[in-house]
Amino acid sequence: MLALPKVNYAFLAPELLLIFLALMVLIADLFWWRGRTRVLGWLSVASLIAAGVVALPLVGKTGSTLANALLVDPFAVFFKMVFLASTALIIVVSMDYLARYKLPSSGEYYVLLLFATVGMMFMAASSDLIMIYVGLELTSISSYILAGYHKTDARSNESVLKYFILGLIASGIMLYGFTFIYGFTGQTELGAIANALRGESASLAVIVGVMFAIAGFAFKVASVPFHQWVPDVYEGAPTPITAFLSVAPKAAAFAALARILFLAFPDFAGYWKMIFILLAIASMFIGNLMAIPQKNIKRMLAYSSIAHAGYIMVAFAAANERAIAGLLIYIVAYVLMNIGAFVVVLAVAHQRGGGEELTDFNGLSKRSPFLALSMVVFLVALTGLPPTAGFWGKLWIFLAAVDKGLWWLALIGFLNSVISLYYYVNVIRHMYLFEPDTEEALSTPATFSGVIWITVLATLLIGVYPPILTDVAETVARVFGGLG
Amino acid sequence: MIKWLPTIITFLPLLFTLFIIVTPKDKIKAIRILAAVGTGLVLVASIVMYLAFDYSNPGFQMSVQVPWIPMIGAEYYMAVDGISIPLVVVTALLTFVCIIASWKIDKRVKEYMGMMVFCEIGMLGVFMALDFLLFYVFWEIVLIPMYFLIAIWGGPRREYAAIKFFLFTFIGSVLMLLGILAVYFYSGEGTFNMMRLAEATVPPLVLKLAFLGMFVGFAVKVPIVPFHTWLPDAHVEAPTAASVLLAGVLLKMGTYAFVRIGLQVVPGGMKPFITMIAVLGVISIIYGALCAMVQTDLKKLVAYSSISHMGYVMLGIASLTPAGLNGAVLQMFSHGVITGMLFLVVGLVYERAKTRDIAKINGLFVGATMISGIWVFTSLASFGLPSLAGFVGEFLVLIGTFPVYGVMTGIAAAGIILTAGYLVWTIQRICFGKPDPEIDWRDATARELSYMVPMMIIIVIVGVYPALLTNMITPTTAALLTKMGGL
Repeated sequence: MLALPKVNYAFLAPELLLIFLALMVLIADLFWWRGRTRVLGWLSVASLIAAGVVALPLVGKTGSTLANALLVDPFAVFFKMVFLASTALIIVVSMDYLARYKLPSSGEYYVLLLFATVGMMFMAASSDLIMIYVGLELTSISSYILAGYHKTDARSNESVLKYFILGLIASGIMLYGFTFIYGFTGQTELGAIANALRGESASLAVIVGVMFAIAGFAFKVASVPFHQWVPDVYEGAPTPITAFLSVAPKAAAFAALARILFLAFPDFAGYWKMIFILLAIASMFIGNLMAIPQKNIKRMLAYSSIAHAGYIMVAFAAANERAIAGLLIYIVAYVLMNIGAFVVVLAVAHQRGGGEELTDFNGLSKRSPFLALSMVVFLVALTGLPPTAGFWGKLWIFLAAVDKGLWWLALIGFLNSVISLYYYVNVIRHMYLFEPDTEEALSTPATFSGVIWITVLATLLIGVYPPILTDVAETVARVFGGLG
Repeated sequence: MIKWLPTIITFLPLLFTLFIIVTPKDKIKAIRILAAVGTGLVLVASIVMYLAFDYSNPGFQMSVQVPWIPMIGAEYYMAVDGISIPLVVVTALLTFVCIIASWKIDKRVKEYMGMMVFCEIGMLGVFMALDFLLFYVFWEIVLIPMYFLIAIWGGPRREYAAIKFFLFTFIGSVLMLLGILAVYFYSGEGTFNMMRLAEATVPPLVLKLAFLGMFVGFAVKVPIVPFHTWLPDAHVEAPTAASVLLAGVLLKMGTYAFVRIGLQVVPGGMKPFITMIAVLGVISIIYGALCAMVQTDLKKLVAYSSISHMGYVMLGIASLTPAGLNGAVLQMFSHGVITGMLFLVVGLVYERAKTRDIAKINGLFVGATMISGIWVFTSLASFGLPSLAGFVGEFLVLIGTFPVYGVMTGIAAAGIILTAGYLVWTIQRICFGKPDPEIDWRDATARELSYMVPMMIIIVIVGVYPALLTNMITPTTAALLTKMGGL
C-alpha cells in the first residue's frame, strides 16, 4: 500500500486558488459573459490579486510539502509575487488589445495566461525534477497557444510552429538530461541528488545530464545558441504575449535553474560556471550586435532580450549569494522596464491597428510626449544607466562577478551595455529627432497609461532608492546560504 | 540647516524640471521664467554657500552623510571643500547664463528648458558627492539631457556628434565604474565612501589598474589627447548653450575627478602615471593650440582652444605642487567662465552672420562694436593677459610645474604664445576689415549684455584679486598634498 504524503494545503493555497479561479473564469466565459473581454479581464486580474493575497502569509515562512517536492521559502514567494504581478500587468493591457484586434475567445486567452502563471509558480517553488518539468510544460504549452493567437496571420502561424517544434525538442533534451541524473543518483528530489553525489567524482553521465538540462533551460531563457526562435516568435505573437514571454517564463526558467544548480549540483559548480560564462558572453554579444540593424521594434527588443539573458547568466557564472541577489534585482528591473517598453510599442501601434516598425516611432515626442518620455526611461533603464532600476540590476550582478574574480566578464558586460546604448538611442532618435508622418495626437487607452505609469514610477523609484528592492533581494538570496 | 545646502542646490533643479514638465508646452513664457527662476535660485544658493564657507577649515564642510544602500555600503554623502565650491559656483552661474542666453530659442522650448535644468542636477551633484556610487549616478545623469541638447537643437551633423559624445563618454564611464568596483573590493572596507576608501589599503597593482580604468573615464571627459576626438564634433554641433555647458562644466567634471578621486582617493594608483599625465597634458596644450590655429570655423577654434587650456589644468594637477594644483583649480573656474563667454560670443556672431566661417566674418568692430569689444576682451582673458582671470591660473600652473618638469613647463609656456597667436590672429581676421553689407550687424541687445557684463566683471575681479578664490582653494589643496605626501 503506497503511503500518500501529507499535504500542507496552506503552502499550496496560492496555486490552488489560482487554478480554481482560472477555471471559474473559463466557466464564466462559457456560460455568463461570453466574449465580455473587459469583465473577464478584470476578473482574471482579481484572481491574480487574490492569489497574491493568499500568498502573503507565506512571506518569511520556510518549509516544504508534497514529500519535499514543493518548497515554501522566501525565494519561491518572491518569484510568485513577481509572476502574479507581471501577469496582472499583461492582462490589464491585453483587454484593449483583444478588443482592438477583435481576437476571439478572450476567456481562453486569460485562462491560458493564468495557467501559465500557475506553471511558473510551481517552477520557482519546486525542488523536484519532475515537478519542475511539469511546471515548465504547463507554462510552455500555454505559451505556444498564446503565441499563435493571431490565428489568421500566416507570419504568426509560422513562428508559432517553429516555437512549438523547437520548444518540444528543448523540453525533450532537458528531460533526457533529467533521466541521466536520475539514472545515476536514483533521485529526483534536488537535495537528495546533492546527497547522492556528495563525495562522488564527477562522472561523465552526470555532467552530460546537467549539460542537457542547462541546454533545455537555455532555450527557454532565449540564450545563444538556442535563440533562433526568439525574433520570429516575438515578432509574430500578439504584443502583450511578447511582453509576457520576454519576462515571466524567462524569470521562471532562471528560478528553476538556480534551484537545480545550487541545490542539486553545488559540487559541480566548476563545470556549469564555465558553461554559463560561455553562454553569457555569446548571448550578450550576439543579442546586442544583432539588435543594431533591426528595423522592427519587436525584433529589436527580441534581440535585446537575448542580450539581457546574457547579463543575467553572468550571475550564474559568479554563483554566490550576491549574484543570486543580483539575479532577483535584475529580474524585477527587467520585468518593469521590458513590460513598460512593450506597452509603449503596444500603445504606438494601437491607434493605427498595427505598425511596429521603428519608423512608426518617428516624432512620437510630438504625438504623445508622455509615451515618448516613458520610453526614454525604459530604454535608459535597459541600457543600464542610473538612476534607474536597470542600473542596479547590472551593478549587483557585476559586483558579484568582480567579487569572484570575473572582472573581465564584468568588463565584457559593461562594454556590451555600451553596444546596446547604440540601438536603444536609435529609438530615442526616431522619437525625438524625426518628423512624424502625421501630426495627429496619439490617444492612449487608460489601461496602457496606467501600466506605463506603474512601470515608469517603479523603475525610477528603485533607481533612486534601491534598498526597497535590494534589501529584499539580499534577504531572499540567503536561502542559498553557504554558497562560495 | 546650512549643511543641507549642497542637497538643496543639487535638487532644486529637479523640482523645477518637474514644474516645467507639468507646464503645458504652449506656455512658452512661463517655461522660460520657470527655468530662469530655478537656475537663478541655484545660483543664489551657491553664492550663499560660497559666503558660508569656513576658510579656516581645510576639510569637508556642510556634509550630510546618511546611509543610502547599506547592503553594499553606499552612502548619500554630500559635502564641499575649497575645490568643489568654485566649481559649483561656476556651474550655477553658467547654467543660469545659458538659460538667459537661450531666451530666443523657440524650437521645442519646453523640452529644451527641461533638459537644461535637468542637466544641472548631475553637473552640480558630481562636484559635491563624496560617495563613489552617488558620484557615478550624477556623472551619468548628465549624459542623457546633453545628448538631447546636441541631437535636437544642434547643427547639421548633430546626430552624429550627439551619439559620438554619448558613446565615448559612456565607454569611459563604464571603465571608470569597473575601476571603482576594483577599489571597492580590494579595499575590503565594504564601502563606497570615497574618504574611507582613501584611508584603506589596496594592493598597489590593483590600485594602478583601477586608476587606469578611471583614467580613461576622466580623460575622455577632460578631454586629454588622444581621447578628445568627440569634443570638436560635439562642441561645434551643439547649440550655443550646450557648448557653454560642455566646455564650461562637463570638461571640469573630468579634471575635478582627477583631483578628487585621482589625488585624494587613489593617489597610489595615480602617482606611477603622473609623468605620463603631465606629458599628455603638454601634448594637449600644443596639439590643441596648433589645431585651433588652422580652423576656419570660429566655434571649432574655440573648441580646440579648450583642449589646449585643459592641458594646463592637467599639467598643474600632475605637478603635485601647491602652486600647480591651486593654479589648476583656479584655471578650472576661469576657463569655465572665459570659454563659456567665448562660445556665447560665437553664438551672438552666428545669430547675426548666419555663418561661423572666419573668412566670411569681417569688420565686426565696425558692424557690432560691443560684441567685438567683448570678443577682444574674452580673447585677451583666454590667452592669459595679466589682471584677467585666465592669467592667474596659467601662471600658477607654470610656476608650480617648473621645479618638477622644467622642459615641459618650457613647452607649455610656448603654448601660451601659440594661444596668443591664434586668438590675436582671429581678432584681426574677424574684428577688422570691411563688414559684409549683406549681414545685419545688430549690436548686442540689453539681454545679451545683461549676462555678458557680469561675466566680464567676474573675469576682472578674479584676475585682479584672485585671493577671493585662492584663499578658499589653498588650504584644501595644501591639506590634500600633505596627506598624499608629494611626489
